[in-house]
Amino acid sequence: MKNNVKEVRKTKKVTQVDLAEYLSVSRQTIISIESGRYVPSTVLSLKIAKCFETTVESLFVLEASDF
Amino acid sequence: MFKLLSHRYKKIGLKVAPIGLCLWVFMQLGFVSKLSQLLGITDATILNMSVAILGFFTFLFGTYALAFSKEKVEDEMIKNVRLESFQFAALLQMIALVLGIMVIGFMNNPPKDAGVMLFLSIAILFFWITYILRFNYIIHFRIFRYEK
Repeated sequence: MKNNVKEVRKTKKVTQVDLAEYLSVSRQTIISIESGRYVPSTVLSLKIAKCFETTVESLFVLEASDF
Repeated sequence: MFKLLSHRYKKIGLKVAPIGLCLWVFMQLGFVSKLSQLLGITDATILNMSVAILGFFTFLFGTYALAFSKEKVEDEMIKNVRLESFQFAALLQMIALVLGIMVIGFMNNPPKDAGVMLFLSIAILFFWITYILRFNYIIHFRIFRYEK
């Protein structure tokens, strides 16, 4: 699964620390999500989408290898 | 879910575990016997035993505090890394146990009683130390490398 969290975050001019505070997670979690090393839970994905006022589908995209 | 200790115990564990290990190593190297000679104590057995027990249990408590204390922010990813580290440590411990038993099996004079107890104690501690090292390495070093 690939994601556009980093790109969207930069567009919205939100720092990793601010995003982590808003989501009540650690900065390490944000780094892991942005690098694609960690796939967040449904709840966290929805929270990220809400923070950026967008949809989960626009942030997270399934790849052929996910099937 | 299993309750973890608060984050401050991690700092306590970081201070207590090395102190316990140093005490135990000093006793093994004979520093306690030398100290007792300097103090004029003829029979150092009780002092040696006391330092060994104190050192071992201090180290054990420190290891426990390090392994079972929360991170500053205990979120879902941290829990995931914690679980992965447990699995990693369990696998390594199993390999170490098998190798250790094989080595003991090929020994001409295999260890008895105290030797076996020491081997089993090391096997248990090996699990905890591997877990602590792997967990903290990922959380505090490897994740920040993803950024670069």
